[in-house]
Amino acid sequence: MSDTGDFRGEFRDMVRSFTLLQALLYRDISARYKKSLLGPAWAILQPLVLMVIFSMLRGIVKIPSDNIPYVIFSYSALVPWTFFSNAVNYCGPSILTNAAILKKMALWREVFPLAAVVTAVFDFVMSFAVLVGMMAWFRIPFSAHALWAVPLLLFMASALAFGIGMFVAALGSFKRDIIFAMPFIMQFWIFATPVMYPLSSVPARWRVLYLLNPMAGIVEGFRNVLIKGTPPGMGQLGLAAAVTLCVLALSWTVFRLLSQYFADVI
Amino acid sequence: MQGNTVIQLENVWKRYGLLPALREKFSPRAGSPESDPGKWALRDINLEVKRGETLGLIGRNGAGKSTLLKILAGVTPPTRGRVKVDGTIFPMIELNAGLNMDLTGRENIFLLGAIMGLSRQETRLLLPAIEEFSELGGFFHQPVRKYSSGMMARLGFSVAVNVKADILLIDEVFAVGDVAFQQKCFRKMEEVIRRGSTILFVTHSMRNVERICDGALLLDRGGIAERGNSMQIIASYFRLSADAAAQELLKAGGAVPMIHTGSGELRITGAQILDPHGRPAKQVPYRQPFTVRLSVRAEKAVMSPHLMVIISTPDLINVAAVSTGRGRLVELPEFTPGNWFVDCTVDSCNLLPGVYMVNASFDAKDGPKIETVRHVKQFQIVPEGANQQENNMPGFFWLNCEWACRNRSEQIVA
Repeated sequence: MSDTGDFRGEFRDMVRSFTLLQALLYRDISARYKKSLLGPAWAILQPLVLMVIFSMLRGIVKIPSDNIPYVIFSYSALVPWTFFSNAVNYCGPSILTNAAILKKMALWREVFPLAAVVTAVFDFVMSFAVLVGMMAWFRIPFSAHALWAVPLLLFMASALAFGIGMFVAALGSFKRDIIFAMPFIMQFWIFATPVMYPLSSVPARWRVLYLLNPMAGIVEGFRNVLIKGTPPGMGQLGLAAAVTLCVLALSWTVFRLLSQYFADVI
Repeated sequence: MQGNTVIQLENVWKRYGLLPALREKFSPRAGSPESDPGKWALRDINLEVKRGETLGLIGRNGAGKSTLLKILAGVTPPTRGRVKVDGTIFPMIELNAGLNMDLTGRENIFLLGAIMGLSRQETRLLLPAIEEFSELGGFFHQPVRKYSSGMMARLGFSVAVNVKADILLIDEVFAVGDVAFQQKCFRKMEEVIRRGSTILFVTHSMRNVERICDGALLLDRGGIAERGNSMQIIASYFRLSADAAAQELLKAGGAVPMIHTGSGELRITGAQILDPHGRPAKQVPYRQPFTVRLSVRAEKAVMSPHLMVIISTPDLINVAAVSTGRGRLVELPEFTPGNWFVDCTVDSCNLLPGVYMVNASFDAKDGPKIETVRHVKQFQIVPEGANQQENNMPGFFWLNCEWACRNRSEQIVA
């Protein structure tokens, strides 16, 4: 808040935010596992249950799967999707649950949605480990492309989740409606993303419009690089990155503007 | 900013809520503050604080004390005006903000440390000192959920006192723990003051203001009512509170809501302060005699009860008492049913200028309580004459004393 925003002050604020980020992660993750019976298993259960539901659905309705066993076809897409949806869902109330801290100290307020996204990364790591196990079971070779593509795709999904999450957290701090609406929006969003069906089943003339959903390119890329061993399409990723950047630019601006007044209203 | 000024506020206004703030941001000064006077939490605050100063912020609830601290802490922006702060600032406000019930005391210290701006390394180094200061013993490694409220408060305080900053904002955080712990906190705070930190101190305890502040600021309905030395501002604060109480009374139709306890054969229905000429007064000049006149209604005949009159401060500290009976020379007569006056004349009063309350009680000769009333009457001892030193003394009494001074190798001269 000082008028003289010198470099040392900026640096100190950064270090401080990083320490706080660590502390928040420790709190959120350990408290969550101390307080639940299944603990870390919840992170795996969620995509697994959805996988079972999708597989049962496929027994009734015909869903193509690019000739890949449907179990691993759907699970490999559910892993990045669940990460994304968890990250967004953790972000939404992150400002409200940390109200006491926000009302006391002047901080880099983005640290709260950021901690929410990183918490979701922990869940991702566990469900990803299960995916690797399934790949070994189905004897699917691990492509070298995955070494760079998986981190990149994870980063892109994180950035998108951070962008959406900041927007939800900022607006939701003033009026709760958007937080209540998020589960519905995510339900809709999963069907607009190639999770239970392949991208190839989307009609070609709709493809570009469809790919404006950044999660479409990210999920499809994630599945292809792991199951088929093909690198993600650069066009798809480029489009996803561009849209993600727009989302980030917009939501960060909104967050910056509104975050000053969080302490007034929460 | 000038060399020694560490905090400077220029025409700071604050109004809570997003919409007023946005309106102000996009069309500044639309609608003058005078047109909607009720909504501003702070109005036109101009304030300068010098390095090393310890400034008390006092005022009634809703006067804007906490808002002022929040603006200085950077938690909320001012709606109008400029805030300049030179140096690191640490708000000792709601010390347990962010405490997690499921983590242990030790884990929470790292969390609170991170929130308060300590690095992990700094917290680790301070850990033994914090553990010792908090006096948690075996509970240190237990989840905070199992703590008593006092233990929790000690935890937050122990971390906070170890944070080093140029400017400390303190908001009523001393009401933690038992008396021994409070004294420890005070000693620690005095250490901090000696380090040369600038301190802004919000409290309702006038004794704390008196004890640690160089000067004080009285806030009233969002504005600065007065700034000056602590004693003078405390007197103004009590005057303000008395005025407010009087207005409440007027609103309530003048009926004094007195609370009586006891068996009730005698009822104290009111009290007056009289000057030496027998005229009712609200104010008594310092060191002048005065009379407390109690109006008493006797429901039944009561034989020689014991009467005690206690002078207390508005924050309920008893400072002096006078009584009849129980081996003292004075005995009250038998009260026959009807209305009575009891006059108690104080002919040498060393009470220092300030606001005081009259409390009174009747006990039966053989012990049982007949009547107890608190706050029968409020009065003020006002400074008189040119003796500024006596007028601004801390404490409650002027003590007459003689001084002697000598070099240790000599005999007393005078």
